[in-house]
Order: sequence, then C-alpha cells, then structure tokens
Amino acid sequence: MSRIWIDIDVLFSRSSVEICPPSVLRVVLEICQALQVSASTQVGFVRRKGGPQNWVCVDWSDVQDLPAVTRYRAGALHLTGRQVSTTKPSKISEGASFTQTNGVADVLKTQLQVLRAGSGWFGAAARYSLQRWQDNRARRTALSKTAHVPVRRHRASVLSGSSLREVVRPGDLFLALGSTWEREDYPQTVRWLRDVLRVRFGLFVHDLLPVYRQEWFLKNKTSRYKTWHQTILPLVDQVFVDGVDAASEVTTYLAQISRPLLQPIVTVPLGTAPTSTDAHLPVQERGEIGVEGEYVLCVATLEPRKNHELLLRVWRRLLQVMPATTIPKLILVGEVGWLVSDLMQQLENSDWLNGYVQLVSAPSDAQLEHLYRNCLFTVAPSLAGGVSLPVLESLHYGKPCLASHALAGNVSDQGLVKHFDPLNLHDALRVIRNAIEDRHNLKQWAKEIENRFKPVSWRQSVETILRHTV
Amino acid sequence: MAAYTIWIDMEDIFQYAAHNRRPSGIQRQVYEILQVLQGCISRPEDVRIGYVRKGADGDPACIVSAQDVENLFASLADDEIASVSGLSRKTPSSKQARRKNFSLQSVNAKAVAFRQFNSLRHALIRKFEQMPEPVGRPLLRAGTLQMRVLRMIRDLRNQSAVRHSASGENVPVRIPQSGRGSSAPLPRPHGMKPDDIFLVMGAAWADAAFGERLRAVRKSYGMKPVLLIYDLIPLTCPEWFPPQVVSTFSAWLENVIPQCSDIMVISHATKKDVQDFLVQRSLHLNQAPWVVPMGGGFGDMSVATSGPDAPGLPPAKSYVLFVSTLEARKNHILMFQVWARLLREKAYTDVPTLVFAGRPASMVEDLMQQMENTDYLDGKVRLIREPSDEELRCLYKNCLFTVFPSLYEGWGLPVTESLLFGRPCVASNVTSIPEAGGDFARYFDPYDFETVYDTICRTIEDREGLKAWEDQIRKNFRPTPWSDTAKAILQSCEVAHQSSQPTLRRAG
Repeated sequence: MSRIWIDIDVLFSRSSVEICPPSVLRVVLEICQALQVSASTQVGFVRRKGGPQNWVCVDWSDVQDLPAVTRYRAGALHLTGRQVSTTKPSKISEGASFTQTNGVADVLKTQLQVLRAGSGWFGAAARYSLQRWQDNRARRTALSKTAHVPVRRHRASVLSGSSLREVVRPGDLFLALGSTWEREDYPQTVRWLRDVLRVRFGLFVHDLLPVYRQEWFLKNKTSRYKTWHQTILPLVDQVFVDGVDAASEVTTYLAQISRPLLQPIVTVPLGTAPTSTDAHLPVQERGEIGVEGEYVLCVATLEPRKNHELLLRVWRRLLQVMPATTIPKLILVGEVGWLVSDLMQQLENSDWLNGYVQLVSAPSDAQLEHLYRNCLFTVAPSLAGGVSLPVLESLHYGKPCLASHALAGNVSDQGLVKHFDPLNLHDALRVIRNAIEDRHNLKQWAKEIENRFKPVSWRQSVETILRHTV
Repeated sequence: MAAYTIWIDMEDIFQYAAHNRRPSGIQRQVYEILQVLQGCISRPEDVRIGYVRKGADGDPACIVSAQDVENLFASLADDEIASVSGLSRKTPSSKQARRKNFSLQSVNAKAVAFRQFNSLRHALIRKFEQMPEPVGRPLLRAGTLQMRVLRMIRDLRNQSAVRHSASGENVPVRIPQSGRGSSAPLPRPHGMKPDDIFLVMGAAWADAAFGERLRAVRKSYGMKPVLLIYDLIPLTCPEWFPPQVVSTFSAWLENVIPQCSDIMVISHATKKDVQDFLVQRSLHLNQAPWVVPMGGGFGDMSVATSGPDAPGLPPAKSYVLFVSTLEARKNHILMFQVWARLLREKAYTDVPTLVFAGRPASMVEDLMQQMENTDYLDGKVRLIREPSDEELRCLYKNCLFTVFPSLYEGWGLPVTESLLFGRPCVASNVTSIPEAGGDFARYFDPYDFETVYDTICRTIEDREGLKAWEDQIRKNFRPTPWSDTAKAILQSCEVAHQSSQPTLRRAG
C-alpha cells in the first residue's frame, strides 16, 4: 500500500504572517491531525534537515509541543482599543486666560505616561525573550528527537529520525500542504522525489493572489512566489485546492505560461471549525477576553486584501445615522499583518472610533469559539479570496455571516451567507445596518443556519485527499 | 461714513513659512485674494488695508509692512521664480539681497532641521514597527506620547509668547513699546482704531492660543474680528488627523466663533458643517455664515497657454492628471485601484498614464508601498513630486483630463483649476466638490467603485466625447475671478464695521 509523506517543515520554522498566513497554517495543522487520526498507518511526516534531498521523518507526537501548534490551545490573547487614560488637552474657555499650570501639569502627566510606556518595554522584552526561549526549547526538543539515531518506533513502522530516502517506496505521494514556496531550491527536491525515488508529488495551492494582485504583497514575495509556482506547477502530479476560485487561478496561470496540468485538480472541502475545541471555555476565562456588550465579529488577518477599512467607514456612518446606544461594537480578530499602518493610524486617530472598534489578537481556539458564539453576526469584507475559513466557522457556530461578493460562488457555505459588494460603501452599509436593526430577521436566519447547515469535519477533507492518492 | 482699516492677520502664514518651502492650498488662496483686494475697494479714501502679526513682545497685533508680506510670499514661491527675479535663496550675492534674505535663510535652516527631525522620527517608527509586535508596541506608544508632549510644549510656548516676550521668532516688524496686562486696555499701535476690522483669512487654528489673542484684539483694541472658514474636516473626519489637532481645532472653533462679528465660509457644504457644529455645541450666531464665492487660478494664467513646456514631464495627451497632496482623504488609492483594474482588463497601450502631482504627506505609507509593489503599475502611475507652478501649468495644459476623487473637501480647488485650463474633470460628488465643478465637471460616487470605474473607463475610451466636453468648457465656462472673492470679503467687513455703528447706520 502506498503512503503519504507530508512536508511539515513550516511548523518548525518561525515564519512571519506574510509568509505563512494563519489560514494556511490552520489548514496544514488540521489536515495533518486528521490524517494522523484516520490513517496513521498510511501517513508519515517529514521535515528538511539539510540540503534539498535531505529529509527526515518526524513523529507526530513530537510536533504537538511546537509553538505553531500550542498557540491554538493556549493562545496569547491581547486586546487593542481605546486608550483608557487619554489625556485631554485642557480646554481653553473664553474669557479665562489659559491656565499655564494646568498646561504644565498636562505635559508632565503625558511625560509620565511616556516613561511608563517606555519602562513597560523592559517587561515586554523580557516576556518576549522568555517566550522565544521556551519556543526554541520546544523546537529544539522536537528537532533533537528526530535528529539523532532513531529511538522510537512509529506505529506505521516508520522510524522517527530516519531518512526519507530509506523508508519511501516508489508510488508513494509526497504532499506539500502550504507555504513551501519559501524554499527556492524546492524544484530540486521535487525532481529528486519524482525522478530518483519515483514518488508522486502533490501540492495544495491556497491561492495565486501574489501573482494576480501583486499590489497587496511585498515585491520580494511576489517575485519568489511567481518563479516558484512557474517551476513547480508543471511538475505537480496532483494539485489540490480548496475551491473553484483557486482552481481557476491555477488553470489560468498554467495556460498563461503554456504548461500542461498533469491530473485534474481536486477540490478538498475544508473543515468548518477547528477540531481541537470540544470543550466550552471555562466561565472564569470568559471574562478575561474583555469584550462586553453586543458586537459584530470580523475574523481576518489585518492586510490590504481583507478590506478592514470598509468596516471602519461603515461604522463611522452608522455612528452618524443610528442612535449611539443601538450600535454594536465591531470586534476585529486577527494579527496585524502588513500594509495596514495607515489603517492602524486612522483607528488610533479616531480613538478606535470612540471605542466602537476593538482588536483581539491571538485568542486560543476556545476563546475564538466563545467570541463566535456570542456575536450578533460576522462580516467578511475581503476583496478577493474564494473559500474563507471564518465564513465557515461563523456558520458552524450558528452565526449569520455577511460576506463580500468575492467570497460568493462557493458551495461550501451552502447558500446560507448573504453577500454585499466590498467596493461599495452604500451596499455594505445597507446590508450591515439591516442586520443590526432587523433582529427578528437575524434570528430567523440563525435558526435557518442551525437547521440547514451541515458541518464538514476535517476528517472529510482528509478522506477526499486519500481517495485521490492511495 | 467713518473711515476704517481692515487689518489682515498674517501670523499663520509667517508660521507656515517657517516650516514649509511651498505654499499649500490655503496660502495660495490668501495670496491670490491679497493680490486683488486693494483694487476691489470701492471707496479707497474710507477703507484701507493693513497687515498684522503677533508681536514678539506680547502684542496681539503689531503692524507688518506690505513689503514684509511680499517677501513672505516670495519665500514661499518657486525656486525658479526666485532665481529669475534675482533672488537666489541659497547664495545671496549682493549685500541688499543678503539683508533681505536674512530672515528667509533662518527660516530655511529651521525647515531643514524640521525635515531632519522628521526623517529621524520616521526611521525610528519603521525600526519599532519592524520589531516583533509585543516588543515594538510599548516603544511605539512611548514614541507617540512623546510627540504629543513635544506638541503640548510647543503650544504652551506659543501661548506664553502672546503674553510674555518669550518668542524667539525673528520678527521683521516694528515692535511696539506697549505695556501688557489683560484688564487695562493696551495702547493701540499707531494707526489702529476701534471698530477697525481684524480679518482672519488663513489657517489660524494652528495656534491654540489664538482665542486669547483674538480676545485681546477685540477687548483691548476694540477691533471687529471677521473670520473666513474653509472647512471643518478635523471635526467631521477625525480619523485623518492626529488627535491633538482635532481637539485643538475643536477648542479653537468653540472659542473663536462666538467672538467674531461675521463669519464667512467658502462653500455651501462648509456652511452646513458650520451650522451643524453650532447646533451641536449650542452656539449662536447673529447671522448665518456668508458663502463667499471662491476664485480660481494661480499666478499669471496667460503664461500658461503661451509659454514653452517645462522639461521632463510626460508627453502631451498621454496621461490623466490628479493634482493634490498625497494624503488619505484625497483618496489616491481609489485611482490606483481603478488603474490596476484598467491594466487587468485592457491592453497596456490603451491605458493612459496616471500622474499624481503633489507631495506625499500623511497616511499614505501603505499606498506608496502598494505602488512600489507593482512597480508603479509597471510605469503607468507616475508621481511628480512637488511640482512648481510652471510645471503644474504644463501638466494641466497637456493632460487628457483630470481626476479628483477626494472624500471630503471645503471647496476643491484642483477642480476649478482644471476647468480654468480648459481640461475636463472627473470628480467625486461628495461635500463641496460639485460646487467647485458646477455643470462643467462630471461626477462619480467615490464610495461605489463600480461607477467610478465605469465613469473613468468611458471618459478614457470616448475621445470624441472628451473633445466635445473640452469645447463646451472653453465656450461656456466663466471662471469666478478672485476679485469676486475679494469683493465679498470686503462687503462682509463693511457689514461687520457698520454693525458696530448703529447711529451712523440709522442716520445713513
């Protein structure tokens, strides 16, 4: 029986969000976990140890403690929003001359805040170093287990730490699940796999946006991304994608560079929620999230494609047209990515829209689930993108989702999502305002989701992959 | 009828010149109005014009000579013009030029120091941003707060400069030997009379202590303040401004508006914003704000059509022009997105170049990076930094048409300028912009990308329609001369002056 070898190098590296977006990492992890559970005898995990032909096996149990994995369990919650202690410049009232002492006091107070923020750096730096040290130790432990002479027997009779060359058999599949484009010598690996080891090569393509929308990515990423895919795609025996958009991007690109596709593209349905969160968040932890009152949720890394600026404008308009007490907060969940410094500046300038906007970074899976379960509805104003995990998660947790047209056309949302034009403020405002005001309708919609939505487990994703490989 | 003098406050422009080399919209407009103001006075024997600025010795208003004002604007004018008129700013040759340029040089030195400080600040911000987020965050916050402290100290110093002689400004004006003290009326500088007009046309809100100065001018000198308001954008859209600016501006307005005898605005859109503000803050005015017609054009327009083209600019009829400082509010990103889509959907050769003419300012870092990421859309976007007046004329003259997608304006001068040069303008339809463009510009909704794209696409494709549109502008467009603006301002001053003389008015 042929086996699947999965490249999990990305879990060992410490890549930035731009190189390895959280959504990609999520897919890699969930598929690995599901494979490990449902087909442990057929699957092996490998990572690179040196040159492009030097790959070693890794025991899945050693991966469990890697920071890339543990952060979903533990989280590192951080809240950003309105500053509690905003210094108001003393008001100059008519008639009374500007009281200088007051001004000086203000200056001193603010200067004190500077010192406090500055001294906060030492703590932050110490915490960060400690975190890094722990991460590194976990990584080193995982690495040392695989680096030395094989010590343990894998259930699949694959020796942890043994070289891929020794255990692989012709006809096996080597699967790259994501963010492998970072390695420029990957073509050498693929050639070695196919020509020397007679192993088939499978690639999961999440999107080719850096090729088509290069304004959203830094230049060195786009050029590397382009070259990498140009060389690799013609060598791929089996391309996997998560939806029709990615599939059409791949076929268009191959046509553009006049290269053939070796096998029809296989669409893998994505799981609708993280597998790891079975338990509800303990009561005492709920308060610690620090999000109170009604809120609308938007889960997305802050980067230009995700179009957070539209939401900022919609909420600004809502503040103009609706009574302040009836407007829910906007909770953004995600890491601050790239090309959003002006957006962040606008949020700061407007005092986080007078406190109506909050940013939640790095919640654990349990905290994220809690945020989903308690929101009014979710919004996804992305400018491009295909299948979006947050949209599926929203439906999975029974929450209505307003998504951009760019995310329409996918069967995975089962027709339960309402759409708007992400480039039209009026349309977005109308749809969002409607959802806020018409609670009855919102309830009906949530009920319909509860009744009709069929969750997809990551096991189903894995079954599709297995069907096309083994 | 009693004779009176209109004292025009130049303080903000002196301050502006200390930090900037080129005039922005407001300084230009003030300059154009001042050029024609004297000529528009109907009774020159009764109405005189004078200039004032803040004195170095705690004087709220001391007189500046017309020559000083001229020099001030010369310092803000183009390098080319300065060199043509024999005033080389960097190396003054003659003794006279050296003396004349003394203040300008120190102004320049200050501007250079300011720029160096800013580049250092930006370098630090970038450095902090590159750090891992948890480590960089406290440093960024400390930095932001430190900047706030510096601004507060600067404001404090400015305030104290009104009452104490702490100002280190090199004031090229006579300093009156007047005493100070807010209760006793100050001895008025020679030439000033009660019921004279104190006209504020510039960006006086930069000075947080302006309210007190105005109070001194009003109470101690008995002058009538008349204020020209351009826009209230820091209040309506605070996200585009540092919080300090917003709160200063807000306090400034609340403080200054009740003291003014008359308020003028430059557009109906601004009038509405002012009225909304008054309602919101429960303030009351004796009469609704006047809308003053805005003139158009800059410098000598006849040179525009006759002179040779400035070198190094894109070839004629190969580009679409967008004249504006690059900042978030002006919405350059929208045009960038339109052009990105044009290039995705059309042949490269069918797409005209998009020319941004202006200086990158606040909150366009990400736009600049996006342009860089695409190599300025493979050369289809060009950023002509800080164009001179001459270059601007050429750019206008030779463009296919202009675009102006701004999200908020008090007026929209680039739209008027485009029409003055006979160039069609496709502009956004929000706030005051339709007032500036009238029936001669075409409009799109900047919040609806699809219509923006369609409008621009059609304008690019339909060259015959563009020609007809140009002809229509040439034939029918009647620009508002700056003299209309000046006359309206004079009228406003007249009304403010008369309101203080009930007996005379009744007699008249």
